[in-house]
Amino acid sequence: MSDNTHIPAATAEGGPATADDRRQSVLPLVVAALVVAIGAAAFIGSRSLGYWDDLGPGPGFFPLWLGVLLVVLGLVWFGQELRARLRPGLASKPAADEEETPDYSLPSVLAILVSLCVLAACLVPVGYQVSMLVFLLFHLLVIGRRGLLQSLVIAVVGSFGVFYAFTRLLTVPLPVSSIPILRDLGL
Amino acid sequence: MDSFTALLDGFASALTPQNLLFALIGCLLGTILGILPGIGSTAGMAILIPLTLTMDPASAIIMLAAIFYGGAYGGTITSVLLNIPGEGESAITCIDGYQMTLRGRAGAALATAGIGSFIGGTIATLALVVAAKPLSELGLRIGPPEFFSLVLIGLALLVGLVGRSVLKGVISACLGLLIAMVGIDPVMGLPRFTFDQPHFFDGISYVPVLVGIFGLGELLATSGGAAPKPTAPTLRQLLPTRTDLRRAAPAIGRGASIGTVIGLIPGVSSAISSLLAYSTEKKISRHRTELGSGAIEGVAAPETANNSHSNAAFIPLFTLGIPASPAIAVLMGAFLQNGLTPGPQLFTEAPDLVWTVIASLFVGNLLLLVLNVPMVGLWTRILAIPYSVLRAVIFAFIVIGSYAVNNSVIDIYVMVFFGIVGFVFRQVHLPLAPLVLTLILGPFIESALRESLQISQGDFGIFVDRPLSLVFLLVALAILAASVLSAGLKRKAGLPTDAEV
Amino acid sequence: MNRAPRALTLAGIGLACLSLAACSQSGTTTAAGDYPAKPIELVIGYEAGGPTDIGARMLAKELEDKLDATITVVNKPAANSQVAYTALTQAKPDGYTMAATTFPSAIMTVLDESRGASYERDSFAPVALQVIDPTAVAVAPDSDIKTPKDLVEAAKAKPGKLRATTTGVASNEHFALVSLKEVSGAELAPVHFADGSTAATTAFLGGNTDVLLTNVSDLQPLAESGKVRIVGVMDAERAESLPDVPTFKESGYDVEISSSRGYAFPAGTPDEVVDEMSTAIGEIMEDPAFQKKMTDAGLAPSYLDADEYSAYWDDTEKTFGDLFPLVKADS
Repeated sequence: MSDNTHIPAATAEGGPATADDRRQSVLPLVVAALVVAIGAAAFIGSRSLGYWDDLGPGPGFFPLWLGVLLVVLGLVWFGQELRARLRPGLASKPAADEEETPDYSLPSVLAILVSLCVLAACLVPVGYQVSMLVFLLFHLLVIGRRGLLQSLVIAVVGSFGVFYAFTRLLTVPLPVSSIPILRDLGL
Repeated sequence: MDSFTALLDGFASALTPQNLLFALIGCLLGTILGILPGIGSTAGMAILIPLTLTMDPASAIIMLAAIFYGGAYGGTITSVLLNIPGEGESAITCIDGYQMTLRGRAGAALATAGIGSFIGGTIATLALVVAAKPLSELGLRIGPPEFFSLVLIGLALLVGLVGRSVLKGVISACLGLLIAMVGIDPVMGLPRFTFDQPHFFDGISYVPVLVGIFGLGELLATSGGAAPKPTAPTLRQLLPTRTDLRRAAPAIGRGASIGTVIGLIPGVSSAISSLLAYSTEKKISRHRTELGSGAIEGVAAPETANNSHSNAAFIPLFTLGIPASPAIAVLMGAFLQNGLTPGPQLFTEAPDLVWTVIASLFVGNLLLLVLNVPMVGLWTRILAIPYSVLRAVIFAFIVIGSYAVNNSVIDIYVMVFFGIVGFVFRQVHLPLAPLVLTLILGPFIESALRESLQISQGDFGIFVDRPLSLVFLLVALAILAASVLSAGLKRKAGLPTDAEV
Repeated sequence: MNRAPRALTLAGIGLACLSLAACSQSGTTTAAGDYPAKPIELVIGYEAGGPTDIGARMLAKELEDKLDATITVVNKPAANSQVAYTALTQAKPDGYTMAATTFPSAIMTVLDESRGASYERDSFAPVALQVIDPTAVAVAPDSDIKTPKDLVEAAKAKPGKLRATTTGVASNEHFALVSLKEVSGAELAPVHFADGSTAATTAFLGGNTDVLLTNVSDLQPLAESGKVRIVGVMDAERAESLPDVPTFKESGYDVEISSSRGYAFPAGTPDEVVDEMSTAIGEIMEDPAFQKKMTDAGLAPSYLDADEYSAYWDDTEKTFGDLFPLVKADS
């Protein structure tokens, strides 16, 4: 879980804000605004679903109240974050940026997300084996900076080996390519 | 005692080398299938049923049953070591289990989970031997209204899960409930929030959601160089310390009772047992403030509860012939294919077989313990793999796992999306536990409410007219009142409002 | 890279050309001997281990021997098979993608416009029917209701008060209730258990509803152990396994509702292929040993060939189509 470190709020308060801190400090505001937006969407979406019928709550009942709650709570949160920023001394609750956040690097995060989406998009047209081979090689060689031989072995086992194990031994089918030439090669 | 001698006979045939061997194979296969991404114990059993058709019925059923609970333990291994829940029932174990792993205490977590599972399973099986009939009656007493009130207890316990900020906890819970609303609604049968994708008509499957939020979310959040990485425990750290065991004992006790009772209710998944057990610890354990940061109770309670749930689920099968869970339904299929109809008449038609199977439940739970505690050392060696390699393998693992749930690429995107959600939650300190709780309880709240009102034909009085439901409602109220009261006292005592409620 | 992959690629391209040639040949003259030339994918819209899956896997195993082919079972458990049907009807109609088609799901997903199905009745080429499992009505063993007539009269005495289980809005039990009301005027109050027949059965055994509606195969074990009394079966003829239980039809109420499981190719699959598959399934299902296996697993064998299954599909679609507006109005 995120808040495994119980740093008292006071120790971090009022410290000089670095560039990194400022980037982080916008995020809670954005997320709070997103929560409000999701709540509003749920509220609007629930209006067409039927709120109540002869027997009790209809399909729109729960989404409607969840929407209302999310809008209200999101606004309160937004307000708290904003107040903490405008008058740092008066913050009654620890603002998120004053707690320790795990260390991440934005380029890595983007690389991971994009590579996963590309993998997902390639699974059906290219087939599991080739997509996974390339994906693993990318992560091992480029991101992980492992040796060529080691990467190749792991990638082949993870792609061709896993495919064989799943489809033959476990009869759990993984996707094969939908491009005829690749498909006829058994990929 | 009649059933006692019958049970002894059962032990005699369950302990024949052949049956023992099949139980062993089943435990091992189950554990491996549980570790493999996307293949739960249900699918594992379904895949292996054809193999068992040529076997002797008792051996076949013993092996399948062993796969069933071996699979549950396999899911725990990935939850604790890699923060990847294989099934809903081990999701909540991720929270404290993975924190323990980060502190090099993976061995203690896995061993405790094994011991807890053994005790939980044994207690539930004892209940099956001693009081199967009255217990199954109790299970039937919990109809939709009672179940609705029971779910409200779960929601009241949420107050304990919200963590430091009530506001953020409630936001997290509301988001979880909203995700649970996706799908064909139980009232009118219309698609709701499904984005015109038939894939979401049954709701968003929760394995990809949980894998994204826990597994991928954590990997993204710790992608920087300085973040703590999981470390393999040293030999001395492999086993739980005396303090661990002393702290785990009450949690195991509570987990076993919760799992045994909830397991009696047909159709309720063991994920609910483990969630309720975890929330209960968060509310009443002596070390409740440490939960969420790698407390042994956070592993012991849910793991005990889900295994006693799985074993208690045999009670409705043997006494009523009702398959209480999808996995038990597969097992029931194995009975049927061997020409046996599960139900009370089975005790008179094939008493030898029934008691052999029951005895094998004891044996199997013990086997699981003696197999897995020594193997903890082996499992934790996984963490000794260089992190950059391990991480690449985990990515492959979660992609296959999400795909294999429904054989659908959409679930991979769902997993990636919730990976981003989990990442953002960690950045802005939204707690994850409330979301998991409402995500899993959510569908039941609405359907149980609807079914109750159809039974009472629109009268809300049904929830207070039925004694058991009233009791549950009062318990839920008491939990809420106690939380509010203790929060008020803390405020008076001048504690900051963001303290644990 | 090095030479080995290149050699492999060349060999592969050669193979691909050969198989392409084979394909184009078979496209014009699909002689029964050519099929199947590669693995057949069998899509199942329910989870592994469910009754549809068990029946299909049993059959697939026998088909592999009979056709000398590999059959890959793919479970796509979502949306009451809608996802599986979408995959099937978008697949190439070459006889290498087949799906388990179940009623009412194959019909309901089309009828219910809110589900936005991308296929219709004509998108399927029915192959064969494997199982028919009629809906039946049961009550508590000590109930006064003993025959379908008793049930109708009890319901008429207290309109809308007798509670009956279904497995969800617009499930076949829901259709059965609406159909019974149409032919007899008996109005039962549905309690929808979207989680399926286990939840419905549990609630009934716990005394939460008065009447239990579910498939004959689910009721049989309960009846054997004396937990329920089966009042009547909603089929044209009495169930083989329940010779003493009357049908609603013979009691004067023309209600026939069943769930059934069969197989279909996408529309446009060559007739020769459909026939070959259909015949193969028929031969397997004639085997008494296979019939016993199915019966043991609680599946009632009822083979229909491709034409008969098509006709059955049309009939069932008409029955459900007529009742559908009433079911929608009821929920």
